[in-house]
Amino acid sequence: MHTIDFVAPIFGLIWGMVIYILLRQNKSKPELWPRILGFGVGTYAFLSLMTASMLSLPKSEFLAYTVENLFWSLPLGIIGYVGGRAYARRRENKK
Amino acid sequence: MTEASGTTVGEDRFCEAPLWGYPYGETRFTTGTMYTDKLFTGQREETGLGIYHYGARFYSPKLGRFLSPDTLVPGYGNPQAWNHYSYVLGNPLKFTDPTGHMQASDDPKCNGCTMPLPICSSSICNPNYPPSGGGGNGGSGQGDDEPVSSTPTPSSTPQPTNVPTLDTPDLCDITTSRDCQLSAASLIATVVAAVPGPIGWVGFAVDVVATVIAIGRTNDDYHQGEISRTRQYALNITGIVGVLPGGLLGEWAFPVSFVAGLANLLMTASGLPN
Repeated sequence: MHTIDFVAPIFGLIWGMVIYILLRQNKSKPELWPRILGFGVGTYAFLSLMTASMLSLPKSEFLAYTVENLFWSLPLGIIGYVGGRAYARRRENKK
Repeated sequence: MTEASGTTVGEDRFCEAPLWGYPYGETRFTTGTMYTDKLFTGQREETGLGIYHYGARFYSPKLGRFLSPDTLVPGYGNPQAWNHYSYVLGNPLKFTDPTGHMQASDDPKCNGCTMPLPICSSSICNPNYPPSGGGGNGGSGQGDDEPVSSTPTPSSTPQPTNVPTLDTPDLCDITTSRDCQLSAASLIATVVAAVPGPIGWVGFAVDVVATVIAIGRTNDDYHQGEISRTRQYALNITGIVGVLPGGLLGEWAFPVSFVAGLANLLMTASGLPN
């Protein structure tokens, strides 16, 4: 187990707690959940990937791995968005 | 006989006299009589021509280049591999070329394997690496960088060498390989995510976290030249498809994401595609 392996789980824990609190408070409308989850997952993925890359790769490749990480964060953000939409629909169906 | 390092001098069991050579295989000088034409890295020298027959191609130690272009590119991830005439990625101190097609390593992780490093150090080629304790035989790249003792264990009897083939891939050791652990965790989380209610959302979150870590490791392996672009895309795309939630494909989401997760695990375990 290397130190770098803790980067993404720690980011994930923080991000998960924020999302959980936001959703539990019921202050956010279900219409906003897709955006919250989509932006949350995308940002979390990008920050985790960038931190891990900066710790393990040389600065000369900064531009290369920034583009790479943006590229791979995008589908994860979309999946978060779709997941949030599914969650909101399920909640509305229960009502 | 010269070793892969080229500068190492030793006496081969077929030789009466040692042969000294430069890194790219050019002979510096030799003494006595050579009873074999298998010289630099064990390849056969064409007597009188000063070139070696590497199976697929002829190699000139004087030029440090092959005399004909390679018919395949051993890993697009490394620009050194794009030169079809270059010898072992320009690094004869680290690699040999048993086939004339691609480099192989004398790295202890490889245990006699003649595959390129990403496959070589994965479980497909050497399930017994590392010899003792932790470390990994990671599927996405080189595995974990655990120190390996360079001192061979003395033994009076020759140890059986494990030379596996691509036809019989072994599944990765989930207790040691970080990549396999992540892939397996992602697959289990995919199943848990299909459960309705909060448990399903926990599974989804774990799936996302495991996938992000796996993508980070795969991208780093690619940027460090350890895996090809093909393998990077194959692992990352199957990882992302494995996180698909129910909202995207409806009732098809679970089967599709499960199959993608399974494919990801198999690719991680087998070291394929290279």
